[in-house]
Amino acid sequence: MDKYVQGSEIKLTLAIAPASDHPGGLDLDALVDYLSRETGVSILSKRCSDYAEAIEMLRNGSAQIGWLGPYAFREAAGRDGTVEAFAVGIPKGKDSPNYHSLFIVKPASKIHLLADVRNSVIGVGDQFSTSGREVPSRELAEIGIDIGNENAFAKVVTMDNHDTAIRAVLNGEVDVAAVSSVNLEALVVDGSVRPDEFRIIHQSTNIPGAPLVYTRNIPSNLKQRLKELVLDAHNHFQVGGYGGLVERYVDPVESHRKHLEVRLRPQWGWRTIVGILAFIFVYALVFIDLEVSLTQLISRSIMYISDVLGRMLPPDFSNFRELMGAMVETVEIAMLGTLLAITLSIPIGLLSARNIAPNYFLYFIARTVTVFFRAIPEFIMAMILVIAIGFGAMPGVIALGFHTMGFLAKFYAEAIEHIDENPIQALDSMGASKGQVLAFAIVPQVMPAFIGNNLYILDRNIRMATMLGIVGAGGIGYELQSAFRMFEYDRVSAIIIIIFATIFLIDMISSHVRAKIM
Amino acid sequence: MILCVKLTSYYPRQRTKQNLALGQIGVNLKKMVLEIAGLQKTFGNGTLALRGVDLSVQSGDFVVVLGPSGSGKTTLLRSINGLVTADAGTIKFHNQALTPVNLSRLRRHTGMVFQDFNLVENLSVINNVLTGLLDTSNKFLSMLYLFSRKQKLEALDCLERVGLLDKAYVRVDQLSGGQKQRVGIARSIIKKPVLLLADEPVASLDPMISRSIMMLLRDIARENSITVICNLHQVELALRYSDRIIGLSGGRIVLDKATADVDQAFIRNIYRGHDRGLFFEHATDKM
Repeated sequence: MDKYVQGSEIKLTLAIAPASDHPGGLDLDALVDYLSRETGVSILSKRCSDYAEAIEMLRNGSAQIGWLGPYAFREAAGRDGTVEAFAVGIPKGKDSPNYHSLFIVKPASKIHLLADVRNSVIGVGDQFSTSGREVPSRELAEIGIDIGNENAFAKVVTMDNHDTAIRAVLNGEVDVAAVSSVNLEALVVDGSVRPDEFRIIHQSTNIPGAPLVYTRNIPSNLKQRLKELVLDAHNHFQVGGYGGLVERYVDPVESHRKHLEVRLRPQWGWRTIVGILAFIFVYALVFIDLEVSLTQLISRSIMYISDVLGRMLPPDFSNFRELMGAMVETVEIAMLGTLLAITLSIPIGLLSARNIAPNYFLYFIARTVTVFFRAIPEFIMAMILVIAIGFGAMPGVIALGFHTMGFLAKFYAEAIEHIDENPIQALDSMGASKGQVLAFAIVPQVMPAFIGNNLYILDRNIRMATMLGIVGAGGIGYELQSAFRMFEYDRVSAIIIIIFATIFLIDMISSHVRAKIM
Repeated sequence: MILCVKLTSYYPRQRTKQNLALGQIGVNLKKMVLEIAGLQKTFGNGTLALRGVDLSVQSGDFVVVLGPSGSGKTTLLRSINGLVTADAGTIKFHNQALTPVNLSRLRRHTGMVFQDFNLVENLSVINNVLTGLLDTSNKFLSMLYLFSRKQKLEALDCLERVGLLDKAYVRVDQLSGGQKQRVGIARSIIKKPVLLLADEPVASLDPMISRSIMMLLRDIARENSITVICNLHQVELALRYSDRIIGLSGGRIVLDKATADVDQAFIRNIYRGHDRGLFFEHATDKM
């Protein structure tokens, strides 16, 4: 067969870490024979008495291939990459090489939780054992138990391997032991341990499977051949390995990637995509139904707008004093309407906040009132009031006040519902009355929202009040309406400019106030 | 209750060019990662935060900066990655003086872990981790949350290392404090940093979870040869998890020793009179 180095016969030594002491637990013989036969290289198996020995053999060159536990492998590999993992076995009937560390006790043991292992006699693996020492010590450290601390346990016994550890629990030599799930399953499968002879109190997180490794001393073509043969071995015979029979060997890097790949998900879930498509579909239907044609819209509007603009310019400010009077009246209507809204919405807002409403009935009534007034546009309310009360400012004030009360109460309620409840608890615990809680824990917290919302409503009411005159409820809207009726577009533009200037001014004042207060 | 410490995977990571380069740095006889000389900072309100700090950090070290609140720890850490500009003094990163121009180079190789996690609470865990790769991602696609398959696998790998693979698609606001800090750590290591800056990473966590987070930080740093500078105010954690302890008090270094050579009584002595904010945790198991 092939010679891997010219003129010299290669002999390989396989260092086997002491995970198990019987063939049902760790069986590499068939694999070794097969590799030896196929490569023509003689391979000597060496079962080591502890993990450190296996690591040492691989690092000093007396072994060229090995089977190690995952943690021992990391120690052996170091940072220089002397030792490389090339295959990991998937136990029979499993789909991944991952396994667990288990804490087991006798069925009748008083130990039920991991925390109960304190002050017990515990059996653990040697310092490089992954599922016997490394992982269990981390799981114990998580709950504040240090395995290196003599005082935390009655005794810490270091076991030769997992099988001895399992037997030690069954014999009562130790109270609890940390063992590999692979060994325990193998012993249960071959009948040497019955499932009712032990109880598992804790299972660790996934541990990546124990790998076959080679060192960098082997010629690279032999390395490649060994890897190919091991990964292909399951096609030729029933392969064995850690845990007895093995489904097959896989490339560890590959297997880790697959393990992660099954968890990949698209960044945008199908729900989002369906949502976006549905949105586009609905709006497409709306466009079609309304016969919206953007090209027509643009071409026509260019024509007419130039005509209208031409008639609006230059603005006619001839009756400026009259217009300013009407504008001032508009602002006054808005201010009065806002005051009315604030006054009405404080009690209703308190009652419609779920967390402080005294009972569900009042809460329901308050909510209904706010929804009702929000639902009726102030225009319609003003029209009805003009008929009932007559022309003038009052219908406008009342319409604005009630309509925006619906908004403010909702805003207040939301602000109250989102406050930090902890200060309320503190005041309650100190015996404060409901009113005192309101004054000390709720009011200060909602104050910024209160002021911000009021300013917003004032701002909005001024804009709305300019329009209310159209239905006869006073203010500059009335002037606007009559200018339109008389086709005096130059007066219309003057009114629009006055409205714009006023709203601009109010906006500046309110954002200044807002910045100062909030 | 038990927050699993996921065994950081034992298999060699696929070696990227960057990894190899970093590996070489690690092998080169303990190279200096960071050299700080005469660092001074006075804040606008007159607070003297740093009064001439000299500090050199070797590659692979886990350095804990220990000090009570107001000792200048945070300012020191923030001035290293340019969040604070010092008034005087120099910072050299891999032998190159830090200037506003090459700050981005340092930031590309530096991860940061924050006291309050600084995660985007209503994004999924994996999207938070992926934000660690934004500086090298496609600027347009990443704004649509689109990342390459390779980047997503790296994010999952980092999550596995911190033991949160199963939570990858959960929103961060569903996690506990300890889990959030694990996400913070995953985010900080995804770009394979040379240097990790941790500002009081466990100050908002209970003692038991604090220990497991410190253990995770130390293990990840060791496994990937990452140099760590970690601010702490808990003496016990500093003694247990660091290689070297820097004691900071009133903006000056008052202690700089290998952890093995430090004894608690000495530290206590240093902070006598102003040890408010310094905690000596009494662990249930005596070390």
